[in-house]
Amino acid sequence: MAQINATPTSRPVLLVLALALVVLLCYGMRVAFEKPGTALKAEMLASAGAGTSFTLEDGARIPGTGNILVEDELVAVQRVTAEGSPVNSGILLLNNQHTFKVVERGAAGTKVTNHAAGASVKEPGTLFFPENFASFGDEVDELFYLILWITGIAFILTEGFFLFCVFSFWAKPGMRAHHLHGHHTLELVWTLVPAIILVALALLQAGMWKSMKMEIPLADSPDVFEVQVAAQQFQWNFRVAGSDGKFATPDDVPSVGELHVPVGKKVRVVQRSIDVIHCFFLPNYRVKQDVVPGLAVPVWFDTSRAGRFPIMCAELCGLGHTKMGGTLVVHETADFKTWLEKESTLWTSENDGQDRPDWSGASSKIWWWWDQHDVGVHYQGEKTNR
Amino acid sequence: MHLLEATDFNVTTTPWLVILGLCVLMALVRLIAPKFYSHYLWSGDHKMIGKQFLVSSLLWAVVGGALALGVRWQLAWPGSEVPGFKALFGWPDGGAAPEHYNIMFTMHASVMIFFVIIPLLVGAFGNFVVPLQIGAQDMAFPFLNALSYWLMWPAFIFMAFSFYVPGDGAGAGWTSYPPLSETMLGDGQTLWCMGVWFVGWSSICGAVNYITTIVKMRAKGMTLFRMPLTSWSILITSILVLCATPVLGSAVTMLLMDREFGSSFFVPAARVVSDAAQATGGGQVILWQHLFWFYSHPAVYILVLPAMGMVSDMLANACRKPVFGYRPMVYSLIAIAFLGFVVWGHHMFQSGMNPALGRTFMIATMMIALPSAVKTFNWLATIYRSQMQLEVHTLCSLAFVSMWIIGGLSGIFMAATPVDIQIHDTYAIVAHIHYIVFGSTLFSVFGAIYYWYPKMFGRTMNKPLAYTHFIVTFVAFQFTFFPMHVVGSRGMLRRTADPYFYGNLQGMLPVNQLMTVAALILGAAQLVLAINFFWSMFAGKVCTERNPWKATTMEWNTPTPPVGHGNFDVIPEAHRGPYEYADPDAAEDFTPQFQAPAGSAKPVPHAH
Ligand code: HEM
Ligand SMILES: [Cu+2]
Ligand SMILES: [Cu+2]
Repeated sequence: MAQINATPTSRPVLLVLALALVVLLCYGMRVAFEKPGTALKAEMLASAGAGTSFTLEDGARIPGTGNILVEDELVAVQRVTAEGSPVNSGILLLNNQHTFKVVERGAAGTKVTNHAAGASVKEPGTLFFPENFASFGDEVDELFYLILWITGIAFILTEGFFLFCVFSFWAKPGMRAHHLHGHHTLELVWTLVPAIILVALALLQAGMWKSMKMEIPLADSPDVFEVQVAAQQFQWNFRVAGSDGKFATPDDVPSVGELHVPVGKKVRVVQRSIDVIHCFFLPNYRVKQDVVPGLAVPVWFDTSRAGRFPIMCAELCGLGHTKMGGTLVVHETADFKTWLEKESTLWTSENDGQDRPDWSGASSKIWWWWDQHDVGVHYQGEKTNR
Repeated sequence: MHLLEATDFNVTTTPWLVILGLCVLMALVRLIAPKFYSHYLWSGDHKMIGKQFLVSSLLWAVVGGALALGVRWQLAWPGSEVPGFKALFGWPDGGAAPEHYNIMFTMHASVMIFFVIIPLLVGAFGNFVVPLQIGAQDMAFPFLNALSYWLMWPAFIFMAFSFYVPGDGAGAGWTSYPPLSETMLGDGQTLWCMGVWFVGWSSICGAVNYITTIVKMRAKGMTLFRMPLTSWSILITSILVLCATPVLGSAVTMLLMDREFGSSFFVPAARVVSDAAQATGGGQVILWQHLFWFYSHPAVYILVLPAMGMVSDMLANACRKPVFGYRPMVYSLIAIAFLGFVVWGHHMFQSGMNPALGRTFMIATMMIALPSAVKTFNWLATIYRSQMQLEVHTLCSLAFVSMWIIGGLSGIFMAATPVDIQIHDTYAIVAHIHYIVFGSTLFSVFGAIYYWYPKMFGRTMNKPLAYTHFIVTFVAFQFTFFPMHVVGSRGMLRRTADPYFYGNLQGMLPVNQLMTVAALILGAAQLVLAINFFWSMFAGKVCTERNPWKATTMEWNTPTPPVGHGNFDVIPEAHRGPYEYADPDAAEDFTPQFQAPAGSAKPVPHAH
């Protein structure tokens, strides 16, 4: 069979093609990333002022929560019930009517609510990860960029050498390849060098992981604020202790979809699920933890700035998974106090913790269930005092 | 048994009836056309079984590919109908509803892993190439070999039916984590379990066969360290399969029992179903993940080790140069297989497993990158100072090496536990998977098809078509998968029907549309391969040359195509290592394993 040999003249052509591919790829991504997501724009948003509500008709699409970019202006919207109370969960089917409220709107390019969802699209300085607000997050991001550097250099060296070979070693008539079966020293070098780098990387991160996932602050310290998360298909339920600072008492404040915490605290989160596995993901806090039925796995983060941040469900939990979002609301200390007082009177007067009508509303049976079936805080196979 | 006496008689019995019908049909064919039966259907010949695996996997790849395009379609134009899916699957929404989206990605992955990649690598190329390469007359157990192919058919039928049962199809992801996979209504998930169960049996039958064949049936002179790397990789892969698959089989059986017989292996206490707290339970949800990944981490290596072996063979041939560091290549294969059994927990860093364990798994995972790196350096050194031939298998092997680098490097991000917190369950994982399984494995398969095609069918594939297919696929591949690294790290979740529900993901719509358009081109390019493959079988250029690529390994010492049962018309004997290219003292630039040293007796013709 004829072996076609690449002639030296075809090499520049190949080189140009390869470069063109790289340039095209970069350009395509650049264009695509720069373009705002106009396709989801709802017409009625353009005119709705802050505080007003509007209803989406059949088929119109809008995110359930967070911010939307309308002609370069960020608009914070929230899905609400007909009475105007917030809904952050439940399945948003395409052909249902939904009412939304415009929470706030801002001028072009400004962030409506501090660093809220959506803002990350144009945030400076975050090439890959969304903006970080957790104290341990900086370390995580540094580790990420360190690995990016190491792998980037490894990438350039290996792929560079590869491309050099690809362009240099096409067969020439009558020539034979270098007859070499291997090289002992080389093998040693390229085993040991990556081994050292990988071991160093492994050691470097062990402490970080420990402080993020193993050293969960305990609730008895004054700078720790504890919240409980009860996940269910397809909704996030949250509970914070009322003014007595204790859970399972009548002044507890339950909420659905919105987690309210004060600024400047370590937030200790204890999470359980009543049905399937969910995953509590705070992209701006570098927090992700599966919520597993039968376990009560703790995680933590700290709050440094007030604002609204997205909560996402990162583990497939069924057909409503895609809409299982929520919002983390970090309040200034004084605001939080006001909010807590208002809410705890609301809830204590409404029910005494006994009579919980259903599983889906904020006054739900779910907290009754939580208190009935207390499993303590534990990981798989191990109860922990953390 | 539940499946047989279920209330919905038609639905749950139909797959069984179809399987029964298939058996009857086979029996009939055996009566009417025994020759046809024993040649094309229940053939004990490893070459025919290899081709059977090849053809059925390529056909399933069409299904898997269509489902992938359905997923991509939803991500680019959410809520709109995928063209043709209404008719194809009978979904009134044409794939726009979240439950159908879930079925699409679940079945895409399941089909691609269980019906395409594993059978292609191990079933098709393992079967066809290994006995020829080690100079065996056939596999050790021809009956078991045929059984391992035909056990795929019940699996095919169950999986295919799972789309059409009322209620949900299988939509809990290819990982099928309980309790979700137990609370899924409808029989789709049950059929999925049955399908996986049969695939497991098929794999085990194959593995026993490969190990026995390679250990016991090598030709004279074919010592283990003269074996080509394809055969080595199939040996190692088979050991992985043999040790890991029973665990998957058990896990799936437990899941089936939980679903159908009321056991509660994976059912936790105090779970709430239909608004009522359940009295049953006491099982461990995470147990499934341990069992599943104990199989599936080795399985991801099953998805790539044979490809590594084939690429090593093809690369040496393409470069006209010995594989650099043959022994380190073998040792790193073994190291990967060994370490592959102690890293499963890296899929479970965020699962609620005790985080102290996560640390252990992190260190083991970092270590498994090492043998992978060693292999990469050896391939690069193989290319260095070589004499590359411009052939399709050259291009495909080169693509393998370069894409493998990207997939391996992205693994290091995920192995770093704190970084994995951010990218777990996002599109960054999807990018990692596809750079390895598509970018590496599938490209090596494309190359392997082209490389061994003459030996299989006695014809060659059309070269311009093959180039076209390669180039379009390579370019479209980059556009389809590279941006996923970026959107993933920015928080775009996988397995999410409508990610734009989240305000922070909205800006990613345009880049997703870019990826989808590229994916559509990528899909269309595979038609070129399909046309070339089937057309060449009947109309390709006839090739009768024994050794068209001037290769050194034993399979090229058979007639093209090899003679029926028995393969060789000469007594195969290996006289040297597998990669004697470019020896400056030899007459030609390659000295095959089967070429007797100068001065020794001519090979004796094989008496038939
Ligand atoms: C350099 C070596 C590699 C390392 C360090 C590595 C690391 C990882 C890690 C840590 C994950 C879990 C990420 C997560 O879900 O958070 C993962 C996922 C995955 N890896 Fe790798 N990997 C490597 C090579 C491979 C190879 C060779 C394959 C396949 C042939 C592969 C296929 C996969 C697949 C399919 C998944 C996703 C499974 C799923 O969740 O559906 N990886 N890898
Ligand atoms: Cu979910
Ligand atoms: Cu793995």
